[in-house]
Amino acid sequence: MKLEEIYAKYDEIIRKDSSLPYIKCKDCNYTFFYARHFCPKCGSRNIEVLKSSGIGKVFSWTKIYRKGETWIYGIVELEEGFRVYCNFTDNVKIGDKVKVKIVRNDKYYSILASRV
Amino acid sequence: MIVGFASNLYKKYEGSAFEILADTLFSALDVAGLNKDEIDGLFLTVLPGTFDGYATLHFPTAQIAQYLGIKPKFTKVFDYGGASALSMIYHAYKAIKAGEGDTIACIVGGKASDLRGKGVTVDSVDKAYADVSITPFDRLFRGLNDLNPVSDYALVANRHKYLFGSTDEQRALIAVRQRFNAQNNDKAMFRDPLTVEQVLKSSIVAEPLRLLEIVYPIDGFHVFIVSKRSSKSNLRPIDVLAYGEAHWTVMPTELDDIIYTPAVQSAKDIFNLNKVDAFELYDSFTITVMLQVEDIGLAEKGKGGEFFEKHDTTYLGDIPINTGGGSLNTGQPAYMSGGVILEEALLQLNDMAKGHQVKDADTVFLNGIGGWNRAHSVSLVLGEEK
Ligand SMILES: [Zn+2]
Repeated sequence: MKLEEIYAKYDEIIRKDSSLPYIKCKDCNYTFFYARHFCPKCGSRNIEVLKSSGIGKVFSWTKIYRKGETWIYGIVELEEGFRVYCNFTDNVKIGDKVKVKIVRNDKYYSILASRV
Repeated sequence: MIVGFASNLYKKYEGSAFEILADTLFSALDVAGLNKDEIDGLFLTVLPGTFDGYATLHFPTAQIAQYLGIKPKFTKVFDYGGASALSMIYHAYKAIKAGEGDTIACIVGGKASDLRGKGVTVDSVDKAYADVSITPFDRLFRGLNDLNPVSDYALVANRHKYLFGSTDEQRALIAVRQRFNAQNNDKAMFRDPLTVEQVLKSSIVAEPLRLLEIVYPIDGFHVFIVSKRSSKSNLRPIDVLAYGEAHWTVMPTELDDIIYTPAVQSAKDIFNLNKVDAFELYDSFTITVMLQVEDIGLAEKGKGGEFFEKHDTTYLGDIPINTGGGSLNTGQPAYMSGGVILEEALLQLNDMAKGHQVKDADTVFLNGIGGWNRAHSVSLVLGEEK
């Protein structure tokens, strides 16, 4: 698979219902989100693009205070085993269960996680 | 072989980065007793957005050599951010020992005020300039509101608290000790005594990190002259006693855990820490220092906070750390503190650290951390070969 094909599949999954795509290596089962056309663990090209349940746990978080504004930013570990950076819609603690949504804005994607 | 060094630091310099750079280089050459035409090698580092407001320099080593009016035999850019300064010194020593040249100028710095004025941080430089690539995954990574690198270290600090029970007070203690060390350092911008309470009362920037736990980005340069010609220099003949570097350039989300830095690898078994008289550790944030104390092996993983409770880390103490107050107190030139810790190490080794001198400092361990989200670590031990 070429990188652009992977991104096309990502787009298809995201457009459908804001679900989070990810990649699984069919040889070593390593899962990852940040797209490459091979498995960064074992080097295999035998990979597939899948749709995550979007369910995960807060791995770490921070609440940022800037010019009168606040927002919450952090990392979620999905139940499929990979992690993503995201913005949280709620106050969270490490270990809290969350559901992740992803949307495309122009060129970039935004990932939001809410407590469930 | 470090025969000259100098620095010029400003909260905000009204003028060009080329001016500060050249003035600092000439001061360092004065100390070395050399002139610019004797420079064989030019090593430097630049961070996007920190050179006179430009996102990048086209052929940076050539531009800088042009302004200085020098014709080096070789040039090299080190792009490890805060770890660059330490790497340059080692590679300069190696180049000279290999006979590639006699004199190498190592340059670190720039103008942080250009970016500061745009209201962005250095790892959010893409918010100030279009089409700056931050990661190979920009499409999936950007579009998010962060405040890198503050947010990155805040995530680490919160996870460290969660996993090991480290406390805000323990991190504050690091800022307090370093301020004590800064009180008599004429390079320091912040010198008033500081208490744990004051640190904890300062405003939160990214939870749990507070204002007094974060470096202030400034303008300025450090220049180090490495040369085998040292007859006119009064500096002690300092050698590189040990060296290690490591580059963990994976996305932090793909690390086993974010509470480790590549110092785990760069510092692994390179030197007997009991033989070290002072430690100069990268201090972009209080948590950075706590992580390095653990990762270089001064404390077990997770016990960095307790380490600061148990040991006196002032320049008068049993394990002196960041003896001049570190960049938390001098400010961070162009978002890279490597020059600050390297200059302090050289002051200590040359008995020139007035008001904060560690008695009989013969061996200094340095660790630099830098790059996007702590990707690079360089460990360096300086002292006289015995
Ligand atoms: Zn694999």
